[in-house]
Amino acid sequence: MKLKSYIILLLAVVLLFTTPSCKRDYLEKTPDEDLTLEQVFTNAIFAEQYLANIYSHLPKELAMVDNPCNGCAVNNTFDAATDELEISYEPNFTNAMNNGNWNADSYVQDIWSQSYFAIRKANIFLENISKLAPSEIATEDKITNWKGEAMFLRALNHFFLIRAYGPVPIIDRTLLLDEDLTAFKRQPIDKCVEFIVSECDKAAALLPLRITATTDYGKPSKVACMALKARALLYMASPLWNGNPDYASFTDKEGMRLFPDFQAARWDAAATAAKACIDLAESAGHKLHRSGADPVKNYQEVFYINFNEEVFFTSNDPDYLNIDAYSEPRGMPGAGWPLQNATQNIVDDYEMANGIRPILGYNADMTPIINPLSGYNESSQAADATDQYYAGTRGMYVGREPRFYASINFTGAKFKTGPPQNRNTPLEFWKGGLDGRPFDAGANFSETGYLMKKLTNPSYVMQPKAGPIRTWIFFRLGEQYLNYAEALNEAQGPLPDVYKYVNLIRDRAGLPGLPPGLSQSDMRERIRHERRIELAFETHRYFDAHRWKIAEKIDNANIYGLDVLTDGYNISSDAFYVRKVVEKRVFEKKHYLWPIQQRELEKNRNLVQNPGW
Amino acid sequence: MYVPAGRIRPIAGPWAFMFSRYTKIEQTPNPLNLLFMQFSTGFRFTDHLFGKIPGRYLSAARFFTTYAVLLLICSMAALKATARSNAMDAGHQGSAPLRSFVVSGTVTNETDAPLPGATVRIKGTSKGTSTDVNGKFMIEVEHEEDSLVFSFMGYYNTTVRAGSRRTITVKLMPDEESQKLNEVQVVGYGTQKKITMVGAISSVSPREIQKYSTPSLTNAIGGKLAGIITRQTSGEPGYDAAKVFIRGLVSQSGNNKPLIIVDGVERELQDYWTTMNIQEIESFSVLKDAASTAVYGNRGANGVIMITTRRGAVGKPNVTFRTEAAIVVPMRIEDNIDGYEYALLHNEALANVGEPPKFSPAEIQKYKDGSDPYLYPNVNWYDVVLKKRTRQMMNNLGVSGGTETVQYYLNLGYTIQEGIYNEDPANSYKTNAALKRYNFRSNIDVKLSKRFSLALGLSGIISNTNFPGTDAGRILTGLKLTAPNTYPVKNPDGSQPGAFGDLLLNPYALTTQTGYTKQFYNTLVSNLSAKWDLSYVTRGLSARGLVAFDVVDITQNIRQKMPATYSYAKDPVTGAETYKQWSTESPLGFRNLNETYRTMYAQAGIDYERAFGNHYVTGMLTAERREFTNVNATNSIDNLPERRQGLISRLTYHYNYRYLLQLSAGYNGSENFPKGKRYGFFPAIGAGWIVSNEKFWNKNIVNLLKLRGNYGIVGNDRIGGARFLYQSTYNKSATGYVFGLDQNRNPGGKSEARIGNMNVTWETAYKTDLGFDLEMFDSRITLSTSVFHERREGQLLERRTIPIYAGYPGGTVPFANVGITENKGFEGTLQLRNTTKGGFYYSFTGNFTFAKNKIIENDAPPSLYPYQDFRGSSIGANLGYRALGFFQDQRDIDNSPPQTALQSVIRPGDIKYEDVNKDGQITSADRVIIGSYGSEPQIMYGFGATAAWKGFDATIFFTGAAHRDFFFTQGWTAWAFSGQAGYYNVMQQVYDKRFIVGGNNEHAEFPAVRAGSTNNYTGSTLWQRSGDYLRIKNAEIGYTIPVNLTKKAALRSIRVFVQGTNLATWDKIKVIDPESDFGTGGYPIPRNYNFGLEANF
Repeated sequence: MKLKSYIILLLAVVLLFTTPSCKRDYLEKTPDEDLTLEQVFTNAIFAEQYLANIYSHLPKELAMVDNPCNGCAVNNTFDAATDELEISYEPNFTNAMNNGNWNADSYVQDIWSQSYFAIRKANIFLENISKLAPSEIATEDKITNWKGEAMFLRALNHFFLIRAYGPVPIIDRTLLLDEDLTAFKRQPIDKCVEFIVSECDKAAALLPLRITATTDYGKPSKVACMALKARALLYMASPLWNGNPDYASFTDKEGMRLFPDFQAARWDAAATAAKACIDLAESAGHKLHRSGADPVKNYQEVFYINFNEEVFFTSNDPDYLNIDAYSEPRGMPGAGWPLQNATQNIVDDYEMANGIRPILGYNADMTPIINPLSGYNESSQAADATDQYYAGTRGMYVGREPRFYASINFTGAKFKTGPPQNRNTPLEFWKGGLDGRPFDAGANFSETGYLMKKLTNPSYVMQPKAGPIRTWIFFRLGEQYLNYAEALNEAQGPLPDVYKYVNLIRDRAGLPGLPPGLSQSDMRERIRHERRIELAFETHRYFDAHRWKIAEKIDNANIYGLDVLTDGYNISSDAFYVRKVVEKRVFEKKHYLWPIQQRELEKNRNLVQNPGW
Repeated sequence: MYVPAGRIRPIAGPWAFMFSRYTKIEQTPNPLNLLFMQFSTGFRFTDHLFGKIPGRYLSAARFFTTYAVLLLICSMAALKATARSNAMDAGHQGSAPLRSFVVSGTVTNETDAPLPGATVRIKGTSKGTSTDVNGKFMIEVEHEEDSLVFSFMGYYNTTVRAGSRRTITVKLMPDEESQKLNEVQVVGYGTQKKITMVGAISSVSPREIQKYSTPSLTNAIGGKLAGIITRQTSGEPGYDAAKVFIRGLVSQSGNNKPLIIVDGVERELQDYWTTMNIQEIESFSVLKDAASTAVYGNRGANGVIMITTRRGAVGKPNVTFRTEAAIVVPMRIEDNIDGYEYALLHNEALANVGEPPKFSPAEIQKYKDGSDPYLYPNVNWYDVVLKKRTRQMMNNLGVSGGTETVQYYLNLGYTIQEGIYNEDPANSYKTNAALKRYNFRSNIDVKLSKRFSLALGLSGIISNTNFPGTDAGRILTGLKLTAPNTYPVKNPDGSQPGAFGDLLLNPYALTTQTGYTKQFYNTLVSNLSAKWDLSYVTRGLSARGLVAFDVVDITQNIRQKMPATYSYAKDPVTGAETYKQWSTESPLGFRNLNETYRTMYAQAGIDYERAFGNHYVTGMLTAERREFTNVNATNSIDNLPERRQGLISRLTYHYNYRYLLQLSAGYNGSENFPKGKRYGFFPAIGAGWIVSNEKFWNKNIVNLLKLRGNYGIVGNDRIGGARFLYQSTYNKSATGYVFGLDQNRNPGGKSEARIGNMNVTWETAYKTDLGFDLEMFDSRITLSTSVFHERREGQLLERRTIPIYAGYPGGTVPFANVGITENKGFEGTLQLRNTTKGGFYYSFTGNFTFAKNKIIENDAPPSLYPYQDFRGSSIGANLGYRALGFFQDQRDIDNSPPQTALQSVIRPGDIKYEDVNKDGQITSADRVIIGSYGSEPQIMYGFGATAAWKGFDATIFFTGAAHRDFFFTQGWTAWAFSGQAGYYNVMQQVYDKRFIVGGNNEHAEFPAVRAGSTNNYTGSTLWQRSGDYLRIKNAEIGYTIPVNLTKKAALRSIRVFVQGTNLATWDKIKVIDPESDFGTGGYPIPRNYNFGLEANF
């Protein structure tokens, strides 16, 4: 009797606590509400969100001053690493670049990672989007467009890689963890460009000619694909990549050359692609932006009227207003970060309104050799005010071409004269001046005596920080005109088409056309100069200087500004307008290509480092 | 296993039916039946009573009620048993047959103390009885020629002829040999005879642990047991538990904490065990090798700490009262320079970079003479904020005793630990840190019948802690941030000083003016176990079951506020005083946080133990389940219960205490791993040879020599990383992108969140242990040593060899079981004990542990610089420059490899580094592995001595650690002006031994002071110090008042004692505690002077 009760007790205890609480295995307890790849690509909304996430890796080129946060999309580290801009904020990475003080171990602008992250995501998208059945939300056409977008983004990210690093591994599929990842190596630069070109063609076939629905602005079109293709081919044809003797012996571990021999036909290919892009764009209704008769306004508006008719493809970052804040002169209420300083070097390069360059060169003491035909006079002062400056403004800034006034803020300039700001005093960049270095130490000030005006928006108000949202233009028609002109001149000499397209640009800028009868090399210089001015602060100068192989001259030189460190000046003080060295920049041959990060080389010994690093 | 509240009801139903019918038949219900009846009615009762109570409290309420009922039953059973035996006695006396007669008597031990539970048997028959609580017995004897055999475990049997005597007093003499043979050690899932064990287990007596006045158990065990390595980094009340590692760190990435088993149940729940009342502890053991830990399967690789709590014993109630009070002195408060020195140093830092001084000589004079304390303050904030001493009190009242049927142990503890912050008398609430803890425990054993017994253990901890509105880390940082001349203690108008940024609140305001936080910990730990002797089925067989339910509930009431602070200024010309406001006052806020954790555990097993001639065999088979739930988790993954289940078995064999063999294995699984890969098998094999039991051995000198060795595989499923790593998941709210003319259409984002690894599994440890145990001179000297080796494979690391071009973004790079480390070392314990003929007792004990780990594989790509590869180094090693000294002058700089990669201008007094790769410049490629020992000590040792004579006893114990690296690193005051000049305190040692440009720098130890130097303030050997230390961990002097005096006061014994903890420390760091983390001077650890009294009655 007793025995029975004990057995029952023991069984009861054991059963109570060890009987599975449900039919499933006791340990079969896994979270099931988490999203899987399958779910993402069978749900139209999720799939679109996945695609949107790929866009988020686009570099934030509006951000020129701040270094990116760790793991974030890269910022613009190019404008201030060449002779158009100086960032007067010491921690900015361009200052390390300009000192030559960077290496494969330490750099904050992680183009490599961001581009390859985006490429993997695009690969996953392209490999899985076929799982999505067309529906009301995602029609067949829409899905086709999405594929084209992912393909374009994959090509664009490869382009971001090659323009910085040169030859890179081409990743056109999702890499699995169990495959031999060290089998991947850098592909010759022409193979990389070929990949980008063919991807652009494929993507173009899937995309609409032009984005028409305003809600889709910011997406790439056929024209954008053609623009990328044309730019990639232009770079490929240029001296840095096309038969560069410096890289003739640059090979990978198996001896494969990473830069090919020179081929003149590459210029033809570039010209053809640019012309094709232009024709397609014009057929889609794209044209150079003009809103009226004022060439200053016409040019300035290209960069702050979002998605105007000249624009092919942008990056969007509505939360970013610092492009204005970092160019706002100190004298404006609430301003204190005048960090985007245009250089004296670019100021001197703007033409006069008559289309003649004012400065031919410099004397040993940095006084300019003035072209007497230009009408430029540095020591005079303007007797009368204009729309752009007040009376008393230095002759340096008088009678310059319209794009100068659209791009540069200088002492004497009119700034935000209308409501709501109603400033009625000239800009003053000397020490103690309204917009110059204040007397209390540690405050930010323009180290050159200039601020970048281009890309900013006149209706931005610093206090409270408010203004229209902005876009960064990756591709626009104006660039393609110059691409075509350059490539055609290189391929076939200064044909009428070369004149035509350069002059279209100059005409919009309110300048007379080029003089006829230029030699090929004269024309080359004219086009290069036109690019420097027209495309200033749009990230082109840095790469143009590289591909033309002139960076070791222009970026290994002094950057000039005015005498902003001495106090006691006023608008008519001669001593203020004297060229002073702001920075002695360092550019060595190795800097033509960025170093691949050390940690990446350690993971795969089949990757070779760029020469000199 | 988790039983939802609603599930109890249907089960209670059938029980009620089953046993109510049962009780009808049984006229006099035995306690078991009563128990069942009460269980069922208890549940029904509680259902009725608690019907309106929300479900989540219901199970706890039921539990308590049932427990109360059970207690009642136990007492009834005890009463009934007593009554029955009385009745029986009466009956026997009345109707004794003529020829037989009754013999009564007493059995005592060698000191004449009564021996309850001794067996009295009539020789040649099965008739027998046992002694009662008072050692008394009564037995019916048939014939005067009959002999009575008296036996008790560990004593020689004594046989006495009955003769004509009717009362007999027998004194049993101890059989030490047999006591040794029968000495039992708690092991995983059972007990084992100590002599037959082949594993490495070390134990410490609870008496030893009680000699520390600390509320945290972990602080008392460092240096006490071979194989344990501890480090106490903080003395903050409620957060002062030391880190504990068994045989050092082994895993690079996983949890290195040992498994904690309290009363047979895994109980690491929120580190509950560190808050256990030390007085409740019966035994404390550490299981270190595979033979001991393989039964814990995928949980045992880090070693196991095995604690059992005290239980009652047959006998009269024994009441113990212990009270102790300590004066607590914070140790190693930072010694920083004063305001005058600070101003001088500030000027010097500026001069070192060619800038004009900040302070004029007149101003410096004001700092020196204190003539203008508001504008030129000189404040030692440590003195303002911290008390010189505080207090701690621990009280305990315990009762134990019992009858044959029921034994009990009840204990109540009350601990108060005060913090070291000064308070503002104007506050109506307490801001100082404080801990108040109440512990209770009741362990009840009920023998329901000859074969069946139940044990219930129940323990509760209620602790209330109080903290300032600002946490200790921030306060201590504030003290380091605030220079003596930052602001005065109070502004002239009495307001609180403040300044920009981190200096917004002064340290005093941080401590006293930011409100307070109260934390409430409610811990309930319970287990109910049953043991059933099945020897009537087959001899030596028994079965057991155990269920346990633990819950920890933590509630925080956060009442923070912001005080108003102002900076004071005075115009030097006009004398106008101004106050600039930095922060505005906010009222006391209220925020409530709650965390609840539950564990359910069940175990059932059978044991077998039998001797066949000289062949002794034991066997054990157990099944178990465990479920842990974070009830208040903030996300769906954490909210899922963590489950484990497994089978455990052990077989031991020995031949006549000479040749030992043990096989053990755990087979268990966890829900954390992919299906099909959840279960693992962890076997171990061990063997031993007791050489001293061989016939040829002469035991005169060496009375015990045992050789032992074992090898096995143990797992560690606490691998780090997130749960369910085998699942690929997508980030539901990844970054999106904006489209549209006005950039107002953001579809949102989705992206890969984690790439699942279908092979994710536990860490696997391959452990070998070889050792011997030696006892000499009748066990006066004992020595036990082990050498060990472990290879730990499968450590979970985020893959580091995946090239970035594969595109796996940060955070989605999968984890894999790729890390491998090796850990080897040795340990030993030596003990010497003797009592002289004059009654003088002395002992010496010492132990030593050395464990050195080495990274074999960390999945790092092969470094271009082989000397930067961490493979071959210890876990926690660092990269840094090798400092060669200081640049003496410009010529020295010009003649050395350029260091401009570290800092644009190098000046005299900057640290000069070695060009390791000989490329002619100093770059990050010149960093080498510095600090080869890692963050935890490789060596830990302890030794001490005890002496006792005529009621006096004295103990002193030293502990030490060695082979630990320490670095003066960032955030600490060794890096003078590392942020900017005039920011952060500066350590006196740095000031005294700094490089002075143009001075005599022969003995300089620190670089010239330069604000924000990127050359100097980076990891290098210059900042490296040895973390070795030796300290007087504790000392105690006690006096036991002679028994003849105490007896008059109806006391059994009374002892008074004085203790000291952390009395002295010898080390090479001097300025902060050598146990603290790199570069931190956290909440200081205490030195205690403790006075106490312990009385038994």
